[in-house]
Amino acid sequence: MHNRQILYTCNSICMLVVCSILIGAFYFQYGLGEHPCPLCLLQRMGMLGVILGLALNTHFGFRNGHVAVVIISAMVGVTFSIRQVLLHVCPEPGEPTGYGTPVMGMHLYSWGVLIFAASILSAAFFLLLIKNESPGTIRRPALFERIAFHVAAGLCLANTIAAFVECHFGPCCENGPCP
Amino acid sequence: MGFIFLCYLVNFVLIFKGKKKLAYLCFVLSTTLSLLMFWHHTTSSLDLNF
Repeated sequence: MHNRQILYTCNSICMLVVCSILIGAFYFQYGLGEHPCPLCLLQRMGMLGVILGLALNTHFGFRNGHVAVVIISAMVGVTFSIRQVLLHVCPEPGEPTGYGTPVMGMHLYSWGVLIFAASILSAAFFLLLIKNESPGTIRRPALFERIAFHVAAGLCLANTIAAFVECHFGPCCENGPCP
Repeated sequence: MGFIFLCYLVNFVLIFKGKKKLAYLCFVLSTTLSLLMFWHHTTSSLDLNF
C-alpha cells in the first residue's frame, strides 16, 4: 500500500518547521547571548524526538508506530514546557516576569506548549490520512526529504556540541554554563 | 545533557543506516534519559529549576 508523495512532502515540511524553531533557539543562544536554561534544553530534546518520528516516516514509510513516536515525544516535551510555564506564571513583585526575551508577547517556553500541541494535532491529521506501509519497507526519500533529514541531523549535532559546551555530558550546573 | 543529545544524534545515524529496531531502542533510551534528567532537575537542591 503506497501513500501519495504529497503526504511525504508535508511530512518533511513539518520536519523543517520544527527545525526552524530550533534554529530560532540558537539565535537566542548565540545571537542575543541568552544561555539556555536546563528546562529549555530538555524542551529541545522533545522537539528532536518529534523530528525523529517524522524522519522514521521519511525512511521507512508511513506507519502508525512512527506517528506514535511523534506523539510520545510531544507529550514529553509539553510536560517540560508546562512545568516551566507554571514556574513563571505568577511572578514575584520586583522580579522579572518570565525567563528570557519574549517573542510576540510570549516567552519561548509558552511557544513550546503551542508547538508541542500543534505537533500532536498534526500527528492526528496524519493518522487520518496515511495508509500503513508494510513492515519491512525501506524507502528512497526524494531530494527535498533528504535535505530536510540532513538539516535536522545537522541541527541535532549542533545541539549536541552546544549542550556539551554548556553542561558537559552530565546535568547542568547552577547559574549558567558549567566551568 | 550532552550525552542525551548524543543519543538523539545516534538515532539519526541509525535511521540513515536503515536500522529501524535499533532506532526505536535508542529513542526509548534517549526519552527515558531526558525524563530522568527532568526529574533530577526538578528535585535537585541546586538552583536548576528554571
